[in-house]
Amino acid sequence: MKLNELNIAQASEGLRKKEFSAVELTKSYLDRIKETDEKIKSFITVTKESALEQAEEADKKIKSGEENNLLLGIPCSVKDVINIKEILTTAASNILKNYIPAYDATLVSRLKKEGMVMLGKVNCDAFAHGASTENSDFFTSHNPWDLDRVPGGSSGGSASSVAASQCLYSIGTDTGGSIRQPASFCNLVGLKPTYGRISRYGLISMTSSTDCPSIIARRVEDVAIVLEKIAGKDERDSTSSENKVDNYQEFLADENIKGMKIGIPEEYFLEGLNIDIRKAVEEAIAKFESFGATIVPISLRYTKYAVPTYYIITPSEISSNLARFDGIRFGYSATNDDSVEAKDLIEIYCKSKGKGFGSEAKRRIMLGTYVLSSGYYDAYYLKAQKVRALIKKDFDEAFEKVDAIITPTTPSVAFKIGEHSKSPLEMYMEDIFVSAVSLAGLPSVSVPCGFAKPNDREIEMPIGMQIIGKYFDEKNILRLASVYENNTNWHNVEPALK
Amino acid sequence: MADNKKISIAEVEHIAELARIELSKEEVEKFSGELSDVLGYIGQLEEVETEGIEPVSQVTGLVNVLRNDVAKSSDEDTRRTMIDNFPDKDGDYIKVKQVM
Repeated sequence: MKLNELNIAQASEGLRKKEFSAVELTKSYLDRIKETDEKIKSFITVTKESALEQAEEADKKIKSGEENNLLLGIPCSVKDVINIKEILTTAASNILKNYIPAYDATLVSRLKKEGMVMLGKVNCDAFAHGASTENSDFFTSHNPWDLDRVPGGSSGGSASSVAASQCLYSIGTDTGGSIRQPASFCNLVGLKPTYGRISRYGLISMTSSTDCPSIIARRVEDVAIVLEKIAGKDERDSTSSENKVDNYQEFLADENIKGMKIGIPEEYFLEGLNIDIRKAVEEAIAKFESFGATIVPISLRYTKYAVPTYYIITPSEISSNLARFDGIRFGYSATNDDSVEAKDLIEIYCKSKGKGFGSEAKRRIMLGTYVLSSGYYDAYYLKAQKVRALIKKDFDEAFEKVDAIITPTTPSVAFKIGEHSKSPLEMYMEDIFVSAVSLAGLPSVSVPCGFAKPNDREIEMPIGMQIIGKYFDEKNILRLASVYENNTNWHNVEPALK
Repeated sequence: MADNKKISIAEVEHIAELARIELSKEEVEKFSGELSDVLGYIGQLEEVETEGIEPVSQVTGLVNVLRNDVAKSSDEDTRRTMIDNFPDKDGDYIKVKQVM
């Protein structure tokens, strides 16, 4: 079997037709990881034993013919900010380097019920703070398209593992672009669903008001299949939605998009946008027009305030969420570090955090503590929540006129490792096209739409286009993405990595 | 808070204390510069007119999601894993340093 040519539906059919067993499929991926991960560095932990056990279990079920679901026996990877019972879950951070969760995230228990095979936990920026995996406390993952470049982030290991054919799909998270930007950098499909569509229970929280479990794969259909299995109300997450979960795969079959209205916001096509990316996205828009969609120029006038708003709200929520890592109940503690002296409880807190957290986590905790501190709350946090209301209103008004909105996912292609690491602000600007959607809580999918040559290099790098939808309207953005995919060939182009 | 707001060394130390996080001297200096830059950047929100705008609290429109407050016990495996994570313990109890 050629791993790089498989998608979920084909792999599932292969299992059912006994062309290969789940154990064989799993072993092929484990071999692939062994061959390639020294270069790519997607995985923090490879769970070989439990993966093979899950595969054996899947083979039994397939043999008995009792189960008939598409994810049975299908190998995946999971971002290391998602808790899996009895499996090391580090958030790519030193402070949780030895943390073993006592429970499964809801999405994980749902996938286990489907009979998933989990190959391992993948790298990300520590606590998902970043856009390149360079903030991982352990190592940087590499872009399979050019090993000198980042795979994007924070769900960079999710993207690199799928792009390098180390698994069929990956579960990541997207708080301010963390699945869409890596999907765009690695020629993949990345879906951030509506806020509350997938339960956050069992995520290591970053920004509770924008955190979304998200899915990355090679095909739109793969993403649709996984979404249907993990979406839906969960008693353990009061912000999860009661809204009906659609049969997304069925929706993809309807290729008629005649009369659909697609909005193009001028603010996303201003200077600073790479010229090849602009061209690729404009060509994609023209394609939608040729399929019968109506293109409507729109304005989202608060776009330029999205990143500053995001970098007030996010650190604020982080400073609260990360307060739990205090060296008392789990994680690194100054208590049992012989090199640290601490005489009382408060010193344990201060020293555990001081030694356990990396630079970016500290930076965000400090920033969040500052903007929430007495005297500054109104000027920063309250102001940001008001501007956030305006950003949401921009979208609400646009969606009275259009069914979906298309923009580039990122203003440039994957950057080089180290290129932005000197200035935190430069790295924050990576979120420029993706953070407004997160603040508004809307669903959005990034799809491959071309290639561009970076100025300094001969290797062509992937371009992504972002399709944004109305609240809980994942079905229509996936449908648009699927129509585009069926009529283009970008997704079939493979990274040169062998 | 206007652009170019400078965060002094003393302010960084104060915030670190509030956040219960120990920073080295180098970190304090580094953050004084970096936080000033970031605050200058996010300070641009000042120019947005927000008179009469209600701040966002929940984007998808949920209001007061309630459930019954029922305690559920966990199995021995779960309990054991949690206890094994304690950095310092006395039997099955978390042990901490003196408070004062």
